[in-house]
Amino acid sequence: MSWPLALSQYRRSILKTDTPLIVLALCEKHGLSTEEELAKDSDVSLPALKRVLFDLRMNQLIEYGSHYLRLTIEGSHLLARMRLEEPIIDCVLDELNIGQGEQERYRQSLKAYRSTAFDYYLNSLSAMRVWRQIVSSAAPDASEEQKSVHTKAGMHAILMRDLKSWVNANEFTCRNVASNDSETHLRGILLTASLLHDVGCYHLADEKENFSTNFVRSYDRLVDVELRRTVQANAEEQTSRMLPLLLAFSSFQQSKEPDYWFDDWHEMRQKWPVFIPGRSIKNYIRRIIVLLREKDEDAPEKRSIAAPLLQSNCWRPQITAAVNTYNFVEKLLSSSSIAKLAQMTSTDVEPLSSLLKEVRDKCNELLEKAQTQDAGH
Amino acid sequence: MTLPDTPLSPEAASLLARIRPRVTSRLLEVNSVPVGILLWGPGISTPSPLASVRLGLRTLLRQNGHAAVYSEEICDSGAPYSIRLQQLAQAQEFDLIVSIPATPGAVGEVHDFAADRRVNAKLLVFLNQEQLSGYSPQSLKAVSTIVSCQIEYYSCATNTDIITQRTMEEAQRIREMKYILAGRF
Repeated sequence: MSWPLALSQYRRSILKTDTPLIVLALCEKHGLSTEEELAKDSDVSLPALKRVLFDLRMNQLIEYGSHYLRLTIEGSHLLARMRLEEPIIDCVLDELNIGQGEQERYRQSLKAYRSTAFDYYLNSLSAMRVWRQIVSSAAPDASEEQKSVHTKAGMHAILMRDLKSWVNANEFTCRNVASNDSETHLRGILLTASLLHDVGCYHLADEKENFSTNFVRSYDRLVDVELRRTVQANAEEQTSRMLPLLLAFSSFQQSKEPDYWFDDWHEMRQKWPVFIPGRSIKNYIRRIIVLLREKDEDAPEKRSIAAPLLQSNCWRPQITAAVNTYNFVEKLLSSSSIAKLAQMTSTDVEPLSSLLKEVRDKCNELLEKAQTQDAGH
Repeated sequence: MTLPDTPLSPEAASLLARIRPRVTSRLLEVNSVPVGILLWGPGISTPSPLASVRLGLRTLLRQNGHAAVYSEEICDSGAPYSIRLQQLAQAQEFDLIVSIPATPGAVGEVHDFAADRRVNAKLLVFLNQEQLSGYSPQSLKAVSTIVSCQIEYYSCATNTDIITQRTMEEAQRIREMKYILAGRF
């Protein structure tokens, strides 16, 4: 790009005061945002904010949708130039309650996600923020600590879902990540975040199962590690209440193109039920789920996948693991090579080979034992 | 200033606490980037009121950390090159050229550079609205685009606030762009 052209697209001076940069940073943190939300979080009056947003729009640093505004790729470059991307990512990680050891890996991966799939990155941040709002209104009787656990577990699950989709759906992106280290970090996170202690279990055939498993595991971890004393309710009981809601939200959000779901979300908020104290919280959440599913009409397939989970209103990771193991064995028996099996199970060849070696050793061990026992008889 | 006491959400407060110090430090860096500005217009000894405007602009720009100079300050009368050639060489090296022609005849001089693609994108020309008739101002207006020389109009020789205001804005915009793009290309 030539200098005159670059300058012609930067029509307003915006760096004399800190407000425009703070608004831009908040805009990124929100993912998709509204003027009212930005005014509330930036401590700037709405008229003053509108002037700032006008200048940012003139410089093509933000853009407007029907109900939202968001950063453009130029806006993301400006924040990166001002070295503000890391503090924003750090704030996202702070909200997830990730241990210090894991933070660096997450940070690298989020930076790579941001730089290679900025639109999706914004959508992830937005979904995480909307989940916080859903928890806040769908669990009005919960204590702040309980809400915090619901929120963090859901946000973590949403982030993992999106990071995994990013890697799986766009291998090209992953290969083009600035450094190989980022990819390694990302794979490391996906493996540790599975919390199922082996490679195969995270690569469940059904995205919903992956998502749900991750939510339950995140939830268990948060309750165990951080808030065991303050959250009185049993973790399973809590997840059985919040998981269907998270699944319905995820299904609703993923049934739309990036950004468009946020428009529907804003329209839907007008119809959001009001919780009446004394009434059953279960029924209240059910009404919200119905509302989310009504908006999910474009995705019958996704709904059908989630339907058994929604109907059962209860999630048992052990059952999923058992079903998944059965599927895995079926695929193993019908595979002609490790590469083919890796393809069928969406797994990498290397970890799959290690897993198969372990299975082989275990099979040999069991068969030898059986033979010894037979000989003894 | 008294603002309504609406508490920030913990997430917003955490983000603001993290980014404010960084923003402050970045803005200090931005606002120390100098812009090279060449000032064309009536000489200091001429009776035109624009002479004092040009001098005031030079002072103000320098106070803001810019490298603002008169063209005649850096012309070498002993050099074997014409004034025009020297001005072209200067124009190529500076970031912004502010031209304040005081007479209709002086507007003609601007034409030399307004059509030259090497430098016309850097030109910011101020014309007197009372002197718009004639070929020179009309044709200058015709060659002005968003990526070539910009033309601004002031109402009369005694009402020239817009010259200072627009020049300062333009210098700041270029300063920011130089920082964002890590220099000029």
